[in-house]
Parts: sequence; C-alpha cells; structure tokens
Amino acid sequence: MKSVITIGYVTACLLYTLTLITVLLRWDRLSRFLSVAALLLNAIILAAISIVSGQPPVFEGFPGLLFIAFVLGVLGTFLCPKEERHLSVRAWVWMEVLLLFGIMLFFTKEPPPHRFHYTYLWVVLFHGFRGVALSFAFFSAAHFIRFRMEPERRRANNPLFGQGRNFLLLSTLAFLCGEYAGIVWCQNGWGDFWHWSPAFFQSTLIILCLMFAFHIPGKNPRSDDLRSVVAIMTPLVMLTVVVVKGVS
Amino acid sequence: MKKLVEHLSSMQFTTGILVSLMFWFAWGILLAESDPYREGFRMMNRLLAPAWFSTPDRLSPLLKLWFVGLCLVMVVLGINLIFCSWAKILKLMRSSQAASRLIMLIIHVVFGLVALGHFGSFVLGYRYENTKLQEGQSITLPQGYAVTVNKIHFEGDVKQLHQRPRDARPGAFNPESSFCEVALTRNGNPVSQGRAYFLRPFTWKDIQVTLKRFTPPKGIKGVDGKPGKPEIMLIISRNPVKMVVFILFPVMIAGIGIYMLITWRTRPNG
Repeated sequence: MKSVITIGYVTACLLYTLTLITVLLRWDRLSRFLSVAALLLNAIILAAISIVSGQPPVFEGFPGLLFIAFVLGVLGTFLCPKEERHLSVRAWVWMEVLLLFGIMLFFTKEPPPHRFHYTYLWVVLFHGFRGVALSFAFFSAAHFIRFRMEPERRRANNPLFGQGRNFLLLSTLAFLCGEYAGIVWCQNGWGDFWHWSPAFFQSTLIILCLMFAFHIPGKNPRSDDLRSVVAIMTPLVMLTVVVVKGVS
Repeated sequence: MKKLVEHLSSMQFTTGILVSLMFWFAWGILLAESDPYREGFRMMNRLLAPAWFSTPDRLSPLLKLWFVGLCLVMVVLGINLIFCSWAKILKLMRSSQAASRLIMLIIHVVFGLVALGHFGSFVLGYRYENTKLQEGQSITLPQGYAVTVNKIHFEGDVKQLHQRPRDARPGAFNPESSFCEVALTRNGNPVSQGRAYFLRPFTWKDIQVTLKRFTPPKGIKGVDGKPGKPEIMLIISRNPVKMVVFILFPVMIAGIGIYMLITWRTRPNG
C-alpha cells in the first residue's frame, strides 16, 4: 500500500507542477485540465488512505497535509479571479500547494496508525475544520501576496484585498468551528474544556494572530500593507503548528 | 479624561494587547515544552487555580508569574473591550451600517463572556483527576456527594492496559463496549446512576464522571498470570460555568458567520 500511495503522491506532485507551469505560461485550458486531473488523483489517494485506515484522512502528518492541499487545490481551480498576468493569484495557490507537497516529502507516505478516537465525530471535526481553515488561510494569503505585488498607486480599493479579507474571515470561522469541536472533545475526554498545554497555547496563538489581522487600526494604504503582511504570515504560523504536531 | 477614554477604546491599544498576549502564549509554549516546568503545567491541569496558590511550593514562582501576568493582560483586554463596546454603541446610534456594527458589537460582548467563562472554569467547582478506583469503591465529593463504582466492564486484551488507550491496536480492545457503571449519591441517598465510556462521560447536572482509562489489575504485570478485574482511572469534575461557554461559543461563531455574509466584499474594500 505504501508504494501505491508513494506513486500516487509523486504523480499528483508532477501534475500540480505542470499545472503551475501552464498557469505561468497562461495556457488556461490546459492548466484547468491538469489541475482537475491533479485534484482527482489527490482525491483518489485520500479515499484510498481513508478506506485502508478506516478513518478520515484529516489527521496530522501526510494525510492531513494532503487533505489541506486538496481543499486549497479546489479553491485554486474554481474560485480564483481571472487575471491577465503570469504571476496571478492562481499561480500563487499552486506554489502553495507545491510547498505543502514539499513538506509531505518528510512524512511517511502511508495510512496513519489506528487510534480508536480517530473515528470519534468531534475529533474528526476538530482536525477537519483545522485543515479547511488552513486551506482558506493559504487561499487568502495568495490574494494578499498578489495585492502586495501591485504598484502602490493601484493598491487603494483593490478587489484582491477585499477577497483576501473574505477568505481570512472564512478561515477564522472554520478555525473556530474546529476549536468548538476541540473543546467538546476535551470536555468528554478529560472532563474540562481547557488544558494548560502547548497544544492549547498554540491554538490560542493562532486565534490571536487572526484577531490581530482584523484589529490593525486605520483605513489607509499603510494599514492595508500591514494587514496583508499579517494575513500572509498567519497560514505560516498555522502550518508550523501542523508540521510540529505531525513530527511529534 | 476624554483623551484617556479615547486611548482605552482605541484599536492601537487593542493591537498592543493582542501582541502582548501573543508573546505571553509563545512564552507559555516554551515553558510548557521545557522539562523544569512541564510538571507544573500538569499540576495546573489537575487542580483548580486557588489550589495553586494555597501551598507555597506547589507551583513554581515563574509559573505563578506567568499565570498572574496572563490574567492581568486579559483584564486590560477586558477594559479595552468595555470601552470599545461603549464607543461602538454610540456609533451604532448614528450609523448607516447599523446591522454589521450591531453584530460586531454582539461578537465582542460574547467573546468577553466566553473569556470570563474560561476564567470561571479555573476557579469555580472542583476537579479530582486520576482517581483510581476498583469495583465497589467510592470517592466522596463536596456538598455530601459521593461517586461509587458499581461495575467495571472491560472487553479486550488485558495486555493492552499497559498502553495508553489511544495506542491500542484495533480489535485488541473495544472502547465502544468497555465501560464502568457509577452511582451518584448525596448524603447516602441515591441521586443518579449510569455508565461512563471513553469519550462518553456520565453527567448529572454540572457534575461529570469521565472514564480516563482502565488500569491493569493489581499485582499482575504480565500476561502469564490470570488477571483479575481491571481498575479504572476517573476524572470527576464539576464546572458550573461549562454550559455558559458551550452555548456562547457557537453564538460567537454564528455572529462571525453572519458578519462575514453581510460584509462579503465582492467589490473594492470599504
């Protein structure tokens, strides 16, 4: 099974790379076709992991990252704005997907070990929502990166900024849904909804990052610049937490 | 005075507090990951906040400082929240975007209440963690309550008991049908009884009996001897503000969802 998943991983990675190249070359039809093919393969690997392990492929390590890449890929394929330039939002999304695939290199490409609580609804929701939140945050970051590439005179009232903000808010919403699932899990498993532990502090740190991004004062270009930087950094903080958990 | 109020309700002040909190939690992560303080945090989980300070050597001074500092920053955030909310109410009265401002106000107020609920859970009620009990044994609780273990039912391989429940191999241990039956009494009179499974605690009002794990029968470590009935490790807790948090948290999420929908920007940012 491990070799089948590894072959699938390499092929999906190749398809995503080709998608990025065709997006950079602005071969729109081909890039759309390749991205759908990559997503299909990604979905098949996720389904295979799920069937073999008997648990949803949302948990830390290889399956979790593959799930995040899949959701981000769906967003990149169907929700990106049309742009007349090489380094578009879509191109940044595929670069982010490839970053995730690069990190996956360091994880064992096999279904996760059986843990009895991995089929428990609140645990699945906790990890699932976190994965979705990170995908939205990356999608938002792609908009903000593009926003920052605009010349300063074109930054005021730029729709890229608005769309980046929308998806960051959606990411916050998904993350909080995950947190709620997490506190139900904690309450039922340990008799309390808060724990003094690194995992809880990391979650709080992510919430604070998101709060910070929405509380930067001022309605001027300088504030927007700062907001965009914080919004770009937030998925990196979230990804660090995912990677650290996956490694430990 | 007006300047002070303006400062206390300003967004600059909020961002300053949020940055302080980020540093504080980052410091907390470093402390919780370091060997000298890991046990201190475990103790903080076992006991409620008043007990950390009642015995001088129970918690290290640095962890006390960290906790007190966290509370102080949260109090400052609370003050900022109150002033900010008041300013929002005033703006709301003369605003054209009344709906989104009202929802934002509700989200902030609910956030404040959720944070208060968290603080309340550190100081109110009680918590008895890692209570090892055998069949027929009891533990007495405050206000005349007691929990008695009437039955322990373990389905699986006793060898598995030497591992953490999360590491159990599939099939060797059945968490779905392993449980303990507990009875809750008050001054000797029965109040309620039921079963506690893994991740499915027994609850009565705000008292919760959580099955943490089964432990190997006493005196038998290996697999050669015939093991007796396993013991159980329970967490018995009472949190009077639990429901406040569990109800208000989804309200806050719903508020953010509604706010997002009504302010979704398809056009340039405003």
